[in-house]
Amino acid sequence: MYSKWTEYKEDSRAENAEDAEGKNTKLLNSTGRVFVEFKYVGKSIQRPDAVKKVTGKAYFLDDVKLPGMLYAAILRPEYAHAKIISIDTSEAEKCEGVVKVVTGKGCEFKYGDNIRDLTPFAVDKVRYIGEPVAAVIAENTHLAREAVKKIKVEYEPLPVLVDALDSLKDDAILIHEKSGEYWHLPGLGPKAGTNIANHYELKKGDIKKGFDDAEVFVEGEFVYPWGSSAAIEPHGSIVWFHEDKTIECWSSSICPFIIREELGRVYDLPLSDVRVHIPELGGCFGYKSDITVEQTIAWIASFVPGHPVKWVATRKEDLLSTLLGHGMRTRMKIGAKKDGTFTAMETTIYQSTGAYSDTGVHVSIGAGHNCGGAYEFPNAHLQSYLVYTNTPPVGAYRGYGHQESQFATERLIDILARKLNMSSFDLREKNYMGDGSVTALGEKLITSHGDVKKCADLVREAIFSKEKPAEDDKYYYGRGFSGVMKTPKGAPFSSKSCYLKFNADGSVAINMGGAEVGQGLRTVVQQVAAEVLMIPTEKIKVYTEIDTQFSPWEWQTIGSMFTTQGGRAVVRACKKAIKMMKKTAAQVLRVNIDNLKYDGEHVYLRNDPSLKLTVESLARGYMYDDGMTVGDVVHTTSDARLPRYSVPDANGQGTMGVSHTFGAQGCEIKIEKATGKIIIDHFASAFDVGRVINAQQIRGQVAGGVMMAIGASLCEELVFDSEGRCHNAMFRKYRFPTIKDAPEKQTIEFVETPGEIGPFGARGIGEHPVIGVAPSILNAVYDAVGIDFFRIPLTAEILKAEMDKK
Amino acid sequence: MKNLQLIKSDNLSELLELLKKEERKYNIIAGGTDVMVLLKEFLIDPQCLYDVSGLSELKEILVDNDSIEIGSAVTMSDIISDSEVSRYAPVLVSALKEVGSPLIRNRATLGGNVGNSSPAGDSIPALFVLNARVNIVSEGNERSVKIEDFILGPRRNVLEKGEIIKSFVIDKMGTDERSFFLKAGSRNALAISKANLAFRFMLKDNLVKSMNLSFGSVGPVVIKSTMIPQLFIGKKPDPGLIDKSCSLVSEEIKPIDDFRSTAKYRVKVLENLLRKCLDEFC
Repeated sequence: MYSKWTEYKEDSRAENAEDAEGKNTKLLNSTGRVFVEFKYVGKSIQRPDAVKKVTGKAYFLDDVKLPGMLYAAILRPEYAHAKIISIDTSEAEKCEGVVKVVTGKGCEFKYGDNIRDLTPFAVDKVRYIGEPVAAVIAENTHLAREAVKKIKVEYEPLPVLVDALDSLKDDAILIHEKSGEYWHLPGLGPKAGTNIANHYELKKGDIKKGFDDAEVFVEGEFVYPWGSSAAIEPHGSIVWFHEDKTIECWSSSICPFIIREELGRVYDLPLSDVRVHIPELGGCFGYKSDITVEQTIAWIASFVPGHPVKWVATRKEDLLSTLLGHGMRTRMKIGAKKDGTFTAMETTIYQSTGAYSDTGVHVSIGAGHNCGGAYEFPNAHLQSYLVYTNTPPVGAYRGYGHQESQFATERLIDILARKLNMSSFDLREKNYMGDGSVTALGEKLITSHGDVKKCADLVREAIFSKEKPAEDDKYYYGRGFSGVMKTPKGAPFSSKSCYLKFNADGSVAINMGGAEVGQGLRTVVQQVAAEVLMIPTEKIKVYTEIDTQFSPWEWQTIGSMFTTQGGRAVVRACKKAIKMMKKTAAQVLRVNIDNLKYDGEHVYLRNDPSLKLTVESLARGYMYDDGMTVGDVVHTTSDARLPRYSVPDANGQGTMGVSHTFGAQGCEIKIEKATGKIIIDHFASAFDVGRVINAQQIRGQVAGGVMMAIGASLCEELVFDSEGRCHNAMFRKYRFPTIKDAPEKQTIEFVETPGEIGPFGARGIGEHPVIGVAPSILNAVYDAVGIDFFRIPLTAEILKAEMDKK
Repeated sequence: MKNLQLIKSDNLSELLELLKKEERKYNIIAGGTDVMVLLKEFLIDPQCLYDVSGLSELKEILVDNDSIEIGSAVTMSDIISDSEVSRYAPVLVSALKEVGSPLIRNRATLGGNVGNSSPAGDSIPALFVLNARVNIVSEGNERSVKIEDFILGPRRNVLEKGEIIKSFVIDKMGTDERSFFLKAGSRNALAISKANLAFRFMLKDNLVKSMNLSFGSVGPVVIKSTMIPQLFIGKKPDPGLIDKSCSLVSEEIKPIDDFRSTAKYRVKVLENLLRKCLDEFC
């Protein structure tokens, strides 16, 4: 809580935080250092949005009501792949309350941020079961949904491809006949005449020599199936074509500026004539990034200019008509010396990316170049195939390709350790990346990139320091471990910016373009700014809604980059503001600016602190006794991008990682003999985050991420049959864990090796907690029952059946 | 859904009169936690809904010497927090605690759970072992049927047009009786059962004096076990008897494969749930 900050004693901050948080989780006390030099960074201050959210007063997309608003409902096809022969809308048009029925007829544009292969509506054919075919605009949602049922569509079914491996067969039907013509970013794009949307290939060292040098080999195929980010607030959008030829849009999205650029481009408007609002968001976890439903709603709304048109996804639509995660099959081979030194890795990833690839392309590239995880492989040949299938498009999902491919790495390392008759910890330690290591991308690491070994030791201490309980009547017991490495998967122009202004009373308003999806970025902004400006966090007001008319430009809030990059922008804006105040003070006090100091309350002369001016007296410039004013209003702008981000070179290498976060995870589980149910007694995570900004929130990030990945590991999967239909697209059948399924105990620890980019050394952490969970659990399952699993979710049914066979 | 009419009354006889005259397709609704889902998925297609949640006659819990009468529109949360029910019918309380989430239990009613007649309804096995009787009313008529005769199949029961469930009369368990409700779901909360069981029995001088056992979610309707109680009654429970009873499970139940689980797994899970009970009490 904010009010507590002054009560922290210099050496007891960690204990205070621990007391506040419950007995099971240690905090910040493992590095042997307590960072007493910070006054605001590292504390647990209350979120500025907390009261509104718990009282139900926060304002979300579905709360937005506008004059003259109409409502849309969308028809989805009955086939996952079919030609549209005809659409008869006549019955629907006659229904009560119907204003207009819309189809994709005449829609000639495609859109996308990376590969322009998306269409707002199916035009000649449908490519997946959730695709928009037609829509009804009506006076309310119920009437629109009723009328949608009256639309008659005649289809000619085509063969359906559900798995990437089927789409890659020579005789497979083409899902996109003209994919070769699609616009795309440099360095990526579809292979014409195939279902390959992108092929990424990385070569490091000499793979042949690497395998020739190896004495032991392990290989395997691992499957991380489709799942949904499943935010409690579904996708939704409102688009309003104004009569003055401007467009206004509200969306449950984290990329207002991409939406603005895409709508401006497609409807041929200056970007300043497109205004996008982002209200509060009820969760994202990835799938509200990149442009998703907005072009579809804009196409619908373009038929009723003057009227805002609202559409909010049903749960089924949210699961089948927005973005899925994963859909990844990883084939991996690792070669090593007898002493455990890795010599080579060969990986081929097949991602079933669904009917459109725009949003999945960076996921598959990231999965490719970072599949080696926290380990150094001197020789590597890594490929990822992004393949069109007749399933919903795959896009960002917390972890962004890392949990899927490192699942393979971490499982294989355990298997290799058994083969070498070596402790898996010793094997890992021999190969951890650290100072001087070269990543697959060819980036050379230095100490400030973080320390995986320290993280591993913390997890080892938490999970493996005691003897494992012996098998008893009811349970088998097991323990598992996994290393973790993730970098943001950036893109050109992946910048964040900041507007800061001082008010007349010395309080500060900060405006940025980062979306608050629940991760708590507002407190990060407050704490970083408070630390630099040396004023209490309560004097810093952080923006709520994002509005492209007022907010500074930001690419989108993804890649666990906000604290690192957004925080960097905040630091820069604050420093500029201090400089502005000094500049005015120098004029007033008639001294050189270099002789002035700032302490949050005053600007004063270094060698005579009695000569000082208050911050309030400088905020709008300075006023002399006679009313004359000098100096500037204190408001500043700044930005921060991923330094030196590049597209891949001919070997698939380049500076694409930029900022690394290393970590380790592990768990103690028991398996109920009777039912095969996996019970996670204790889950431990440790990450080298560079710097903890908000102690309470970062714990929440990790605890929540672990839970999300426990869901993927044990129960979540969206299942598509051979016809591309999904039978569990509802929360009643798509099960994610609840609080009652949480591990009995979670240990969460942080190492703080400051990084070079983020504020006070902070690195990204939002996605990382999901990465090592599946391999830790499956490694623990082997430890418990001696069975290797290569696919998740590992349900009680599957585990029990294999246990019975044994 | 647009022409759906909601009819609500706070007077039971008025509502029954309206129901009798009703010629359209209707459903009874109380908390709506099943009805709204069924409507949304087009599994029912009524023209009107009769809301019984405002009928005070259906919202009482009455306790007498050897039985408890629970109104059909009493919410699960209210039943759970009722001290008399907790004391005299703990198995029902444990079963209801497994239904959905607190939000669902605040709306869901016992009458709705039974009226929906799902084989996976968590309250039903508990009502079986409590020898529940279902009091049914219609205009000018009242009848009472045993819970096992009330449910005919998945989502089918003996309610005729014009009839609604008024209340349930259950046994008041003796202080020397013990009971159990166990459930296996796909997760620990907010999950529909893959298999469940309710168990009630009394030991006297180390011998089994009485035993009631029922299984849910493992057949078209909740199943009342006959073979297993027969095996135990009058005997001293021992490991041999427990092994034998577990092997009888597969003969008594008829599970199916569905999206929640497989038949094979259900048999195994149920055997193990039963073993858990018997190990603890015998």
